[in-house]
Amino acid sequence: MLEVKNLSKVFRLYTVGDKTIEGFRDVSLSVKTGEFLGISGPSGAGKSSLLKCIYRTYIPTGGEIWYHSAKGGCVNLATLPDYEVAILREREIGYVSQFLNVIPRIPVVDVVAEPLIRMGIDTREARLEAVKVLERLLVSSALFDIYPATMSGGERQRVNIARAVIGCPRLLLLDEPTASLDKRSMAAVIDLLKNIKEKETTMIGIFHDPLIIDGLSDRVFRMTD
Amino acid sequence: MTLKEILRKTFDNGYNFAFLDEGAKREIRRKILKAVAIPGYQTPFGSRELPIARGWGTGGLQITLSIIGTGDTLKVIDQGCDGSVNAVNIKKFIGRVTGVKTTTDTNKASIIQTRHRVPEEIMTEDQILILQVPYPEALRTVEPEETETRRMHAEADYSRMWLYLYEDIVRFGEISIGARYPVAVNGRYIMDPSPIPRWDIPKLDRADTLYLFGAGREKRIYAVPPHTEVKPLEFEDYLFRVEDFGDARCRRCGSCDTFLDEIIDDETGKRFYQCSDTDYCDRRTVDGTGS
Amino acid sequence: MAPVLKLKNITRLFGKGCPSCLESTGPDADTNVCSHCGTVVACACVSLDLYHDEILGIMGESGSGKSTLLKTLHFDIAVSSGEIYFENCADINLLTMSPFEKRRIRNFEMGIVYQNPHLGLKMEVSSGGNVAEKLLMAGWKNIDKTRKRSRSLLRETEFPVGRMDEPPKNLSGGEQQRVQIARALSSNPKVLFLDEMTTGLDLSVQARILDMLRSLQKRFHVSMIVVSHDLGVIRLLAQRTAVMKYGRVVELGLTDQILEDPRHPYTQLLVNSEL
Repeated sequence: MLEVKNLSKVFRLYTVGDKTIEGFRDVSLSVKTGEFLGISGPSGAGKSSLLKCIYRTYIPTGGEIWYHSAKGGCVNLATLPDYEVAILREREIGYVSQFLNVIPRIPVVDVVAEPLIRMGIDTREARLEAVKVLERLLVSSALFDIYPATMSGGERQRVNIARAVIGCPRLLLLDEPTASLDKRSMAAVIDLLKNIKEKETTMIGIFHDPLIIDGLSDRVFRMTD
Repeated sequence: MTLKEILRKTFDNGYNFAFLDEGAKREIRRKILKAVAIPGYQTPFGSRELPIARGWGTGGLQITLSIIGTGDTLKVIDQGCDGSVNAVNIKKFIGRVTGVKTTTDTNKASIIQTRHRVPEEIMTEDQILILQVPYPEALRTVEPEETETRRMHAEADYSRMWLYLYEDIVRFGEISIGARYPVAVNGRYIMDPSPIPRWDIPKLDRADTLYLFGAGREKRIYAVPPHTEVKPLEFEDYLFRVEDFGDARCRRCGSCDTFLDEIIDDETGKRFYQCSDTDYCDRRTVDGTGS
Repeated sequence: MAPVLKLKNITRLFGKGCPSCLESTGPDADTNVCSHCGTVVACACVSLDLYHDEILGIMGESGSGKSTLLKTLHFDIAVSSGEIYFENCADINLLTMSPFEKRRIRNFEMGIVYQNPHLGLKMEVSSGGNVAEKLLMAGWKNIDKTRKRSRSLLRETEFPVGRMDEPPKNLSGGEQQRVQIARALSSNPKVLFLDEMTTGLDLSVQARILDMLRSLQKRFHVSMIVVSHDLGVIRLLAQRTAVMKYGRVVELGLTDQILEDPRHPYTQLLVNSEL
């Protein structure tokens, strides 16, 4: 499904006197369809950078990322044209972090339903689906019609996860999306992720909590400094 | 009178036949031919000095003088009236410099020069109607720049004219244009038919007669050749309509199917209607068809 | 997949121009004024593709040439050189077409929303009339149907339709932009150009207009080019973004990549100064 070969990322910062900072070096890994790969390692090891390179928020400075797409065969995400990456993001590859980045003043339910609407699903149907996912994640129905900006951190993270999983992406990248969740909601998140894993969503995730890593991962990839 | 006698007579006046010199007449005829070849297109021409002021019918007069021959019979009307001072003077002038016969009878005239009306009588293919035009540019209401209106005509970019009519309907519930109602000629150019009432517009459509339009001050000639489609601009749900006089009848001839002028008696203050086309009215009165 | 709109080497000079204009200007030369002849190089050698259902952002400071570029695409200003290809007439460079054909393409395949509503609207004509004009251009000859369509377009843009017979000069800035958007969309265009359209509006109106644009983009299946100096606008709307400086595209990429992993020194400066 995904094969990362000798991937490296070096940042070159011109604004602070042309410094170079190494994100990570020479990473190789592979993930099978339906597999959950946990990524662990100390902070600064480049876990997030690796995930962002796969999602192409960062452009790798070396190596290859081979991805078996549903339609276009095997593509190298490191060099695929931007426009085709954008299409993959819309249809196949999801990414969720602890930060929610959406247009202000859109009600929660629409924020979650949007990926489905973009895929061409009827608005009403998409909203119903959004409500289902939010309920599974124990988001109070009183919050469905308010703006995410006014919600607590934990609530926002669950909205974020709901938005990422609603379209059942083929590949889901999780960058510590549960950082500030209480036990009960954490359990709901784990339950939901297990559920979509059964539907053959492949996942690569960074989690601080060893409990989640143990509960979800088929394998763990360790990164070091 | 023989041709020789006519020529001698006009030369005795000290003027060339039909006042204009031959070169000027040729130029104007060439521009008339071009105008006929491109129905509704405003052809620029070298407008000449005349012994009447610009704005008093010099465009129409130059066309008349350029196409008139010794065998023609001339009628000149002003707002339908043969007897108005302006019409009489133009008729006298042309008569003096050409020696042609003049008439008030629409049926007997071969050339009719007119201001602001088309005669009621249906005209034939042997007749030519020459209209005096004050403002030849139909698009001037929506665009002040001449270069821009020319571009609009060239590219048939008429949406602003349609927008003007749309706005008129939004504001007044109908198209409020009285005279100078814009028409599309031959499915191509939008044309100003000169300030004739809406009543006269249908007479231009597929007529047997050649219509020539002359604007002396603005130096433009345009034409509607015989059998050419002339359509007033209209919407499917807001159709073009001619003036409606209700139950009014001409007080002289009793007509209720002609364009009527509303007249108020100075002494009694009473309001009454009368045919605008005086010749038509006169003949109906004499025929005894009037009441 | 074939792009909807393809730009090749779009260049626009203001001035008499000389052979050294291009090499003596640009981000490396740190100017857009030719040191040999004083010509201003507003944009040069810009090549971009716009794809289906895509919102492409163009960002840069004022004077970077982004608005000039947009106006050349809408044929508002002529190019000095370059080519534009449009999906529906694939092999013909639009810039070689006659004014008549250009106008047809502009009216039926394109829409534009200007920062200054005076450029896009007739201030004395009713708002409904401003929307209806493109329909009248397309030969609509039924007032009732035209008004219904204008009204429904204005409703889509969340314009208070009760005021559709009022001229834009009576309206607020946000409402004027809504009329511009309704007008631009009236011909069901393939591409929509937005030039700093929310600049100067207050923040809550800005957010609502941006949200509305995103949903209209989906409903009308229109591709958009959004020009803005506001990273927030670009972040919320555009999937891909081009960064311009001194008339050149210095970086082109996915919007989140441009904002989080900018590689050109100028983009880094731009992104850092925003944060």
